[in-house]
Amino acid sequence: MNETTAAFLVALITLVTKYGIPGVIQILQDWKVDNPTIEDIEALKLRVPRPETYFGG
Amino acid sequence: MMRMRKQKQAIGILMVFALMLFIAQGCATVQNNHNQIVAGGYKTLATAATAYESAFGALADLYKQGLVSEDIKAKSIEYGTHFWSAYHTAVELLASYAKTSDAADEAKLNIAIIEVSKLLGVFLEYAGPYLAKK
Repeated sequence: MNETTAAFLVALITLVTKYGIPGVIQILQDWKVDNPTIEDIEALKLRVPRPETYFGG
Repeated sequence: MMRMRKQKQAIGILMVFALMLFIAQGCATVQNNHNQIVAGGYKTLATAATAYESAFGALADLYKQGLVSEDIKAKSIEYGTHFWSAYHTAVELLASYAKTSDAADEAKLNIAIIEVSKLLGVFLEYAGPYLAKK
């Protein structure tokens, strides 16, 4: 773990403690994946739908 | 109300960290081996996805509350579509590179991740002020 990674994780943990944001938790989970499989990579496709969908489009 | 405001501030902070992460990962991937490049690419794209989800989720809430105009919605969708396209291209290239370890794929992947980073930055720069008002 380099300095940037450590600082990033400390900042995220602070945010989780204060706010408990699901997005922050998700990032921490993503950062635990050191050897992503093809399935992990394929799953990334489902995480970014077209922007219109957020507005019911 | 106070908790909602803190959550919105935190989303903004999350976006800043996502951008920092993009830059750090984008630089780091150039020098590392195949597994590290795949892991770095995965973490970078996953973080970008979370930032995108957080920002559009918040924008959609604002829109439902009447706090975001049709113009802002349209412009957000325009920037979001650019990001969406670059993101899915990068995910395809990451999947390809993970299977082949081809040097040409690696070069394309690095370019694609830089593009994703740039387009996320453009979108968040536009959306940030509106999210901060929430």
